[in-house]
Amino acid sequence: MEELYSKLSDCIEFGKINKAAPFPPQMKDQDGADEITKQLLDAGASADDVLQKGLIIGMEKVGVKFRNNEVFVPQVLMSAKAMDAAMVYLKPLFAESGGSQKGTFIIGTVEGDLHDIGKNLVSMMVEGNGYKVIDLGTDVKAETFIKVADENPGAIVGLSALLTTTMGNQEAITKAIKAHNTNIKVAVGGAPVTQDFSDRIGADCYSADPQGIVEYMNGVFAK
Amino acid sequence: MPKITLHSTAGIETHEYNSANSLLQTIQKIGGEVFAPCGGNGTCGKCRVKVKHYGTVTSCLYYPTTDIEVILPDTKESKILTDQYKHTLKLPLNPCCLAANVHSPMGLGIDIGTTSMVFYWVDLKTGGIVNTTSVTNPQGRFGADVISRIGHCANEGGLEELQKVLIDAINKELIKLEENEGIINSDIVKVTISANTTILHLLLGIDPTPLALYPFTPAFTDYKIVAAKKLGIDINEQGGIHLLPSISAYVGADIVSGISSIAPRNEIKNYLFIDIGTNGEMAVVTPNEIFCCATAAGPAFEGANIKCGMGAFDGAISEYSDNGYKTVGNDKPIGICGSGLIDIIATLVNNGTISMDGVLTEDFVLADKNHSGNGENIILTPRDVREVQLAKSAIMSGIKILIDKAGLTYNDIDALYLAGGFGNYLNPDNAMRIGLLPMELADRIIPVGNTSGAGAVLHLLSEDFNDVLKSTVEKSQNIELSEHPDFEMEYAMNMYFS
Repeated sequence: MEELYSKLSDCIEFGKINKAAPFPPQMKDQDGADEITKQLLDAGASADDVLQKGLIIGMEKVGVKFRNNEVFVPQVLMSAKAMDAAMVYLKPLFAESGGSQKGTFIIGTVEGDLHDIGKNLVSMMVEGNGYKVIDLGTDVKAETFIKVADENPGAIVGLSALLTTTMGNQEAITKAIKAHNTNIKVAVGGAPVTQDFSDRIGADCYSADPQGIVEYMNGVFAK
Repeated sequence: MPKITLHSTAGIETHEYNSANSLLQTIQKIGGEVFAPCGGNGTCGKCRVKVKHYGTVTSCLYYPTTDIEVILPDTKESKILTDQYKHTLKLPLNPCCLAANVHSPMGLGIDIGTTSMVFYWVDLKTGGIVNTTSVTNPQGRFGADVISRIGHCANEGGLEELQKVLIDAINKELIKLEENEGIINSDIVKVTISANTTILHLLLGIDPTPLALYPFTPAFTDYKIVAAKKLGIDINEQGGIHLLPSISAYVGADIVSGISSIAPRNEIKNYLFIDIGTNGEMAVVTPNEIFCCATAAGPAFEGANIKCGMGAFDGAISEYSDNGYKTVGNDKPIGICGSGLIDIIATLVNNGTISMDGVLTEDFVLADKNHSGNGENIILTPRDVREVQLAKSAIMSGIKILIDKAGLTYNDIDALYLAGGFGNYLNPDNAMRIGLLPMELADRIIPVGNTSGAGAVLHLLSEDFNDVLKSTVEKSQNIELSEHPDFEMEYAMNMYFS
């Protein structure tokens, strides 16, 4: 069993989706996240253990490597896809058991902005670290964020923007959320966003990379 | 007598010259070789040479009077000029009506790029380009790309500021021309401007903010004539400023102008047109339809976001191989321009210094501070490699998806026209090596230079060019890349240097 967990974590770290996937070349013809997750569950592992001992460990390694510039967008995307393949089996189990996920993250790209690759990477990374993620997509208005945040008390809201022009909406939405309920925690991110900007608009968290938001959430939900 | 210093493949030599002669005659007298098929009549534009600290001139129409330094095109550049001539549309001289009322009518074509502005001074009597000059787009200090400039418009007076610096830059060139060539403002009867959609908005002082926000609606895309007086551009007071038509927020007049300026040979049915600039606009042109898109390539190849990046100005490393670097103007290096960047990355990928997935473990020193022109190390950083990965993948993914959307394959593409000054200088083999251009089209790549500018010049020369522009716009449809189901995966996977 331990060997399978470690294999699963490798699949996530290196982005091996399933046996047929050609990527990465060095893992050709080996079982991927799809097969190994299934083997673990068949052997009686709990969904929670698969998440904790396999996925989270792999995802954390990717996050750190991305931060250190050792890997780049394609590897992270492949890791995210590998995790997706595992989550197909885990999601129904979490839904059944009410889930032992650590907390909820609501994410969307702000109104006026259609960029979603960065947002998707963050959402995968957060999900892979054991959180429930509600992805609202792109071009999302303040009202939508507020409505979903109300439906999920305690959730953290993540606002993504890739353009300097849509950062203005990040500010407007942050302020609208805080005006509605000052206790809702807001995290902001995206290529042009900085810590200064985040402080100025009254957001609770900024990170230049996905790993930072995971660490922030770990801090919030550990309390 | 004034002196001329001539740089050619044979070396550098200095001679005295007679200022009564044209530059072409002077060069020919001292044995320099310049291709001049029209015999110095000012009509073919192929005898262009570079005058240091001034710009590119059509040597048969240029009469220097002071000490100058001239750089002759090398064989590669001559071939490009010849290719450009072969693939550019030719129209009989038919300038605007005002030209008939003026003794020696002149037109000014301006290609306003995000990074630089190129000015074409055209004699509307002969149809010859008298000279070409270029300056950095002064809006650069408000942001390297159009998005950050649009962002600047949110500041009080930001829009006015962006408009003013453009108009000032144009008027400054007009003054320079008057001083250097003795051309008076009232002789300049027409200005044609080709630029991307954002810059056209800024030039007219129209708020471009909607261009950056979904659903990206321009305030205007059609052909416009504005009185020069109204914009404060100092030409003949009855003269007009003509803005060429655009297609959408991100496929601007520069692309419409560029595609319209190309006259492919008969055997070329379907072709790709690519302008590797900040917005990485491209089009697949078929006999009845044009599919176009813009890719978020970013300004990496124009020098922004790159630690030692710069435009292709004097002192920029423009070529690189295992044998070392070459710079623009043979000066000591002070930075790296786009073509150099591609060469450096291709070389370092080939020798394993950069891994297939783009890891460079430490800064790579191209020239140390004792050998550079600015007392600083000229380096390539690991982050620079990442910027290039993002840029080249955006272009390559755009090419693949656009060809797919047009229902074609690489086999159906008869030519790849590479537009933009950058296209002239990049080494196609290295561009393919790093995955910026598809290997499959290796034998079909044709650099055609600044087609946006060529279209502006055609528009000055002939009113008939309006019909060509109109037809280009009518045949075009805009493709939204991010809506394509394969986009995300293509974009990620094309980042490798496989």
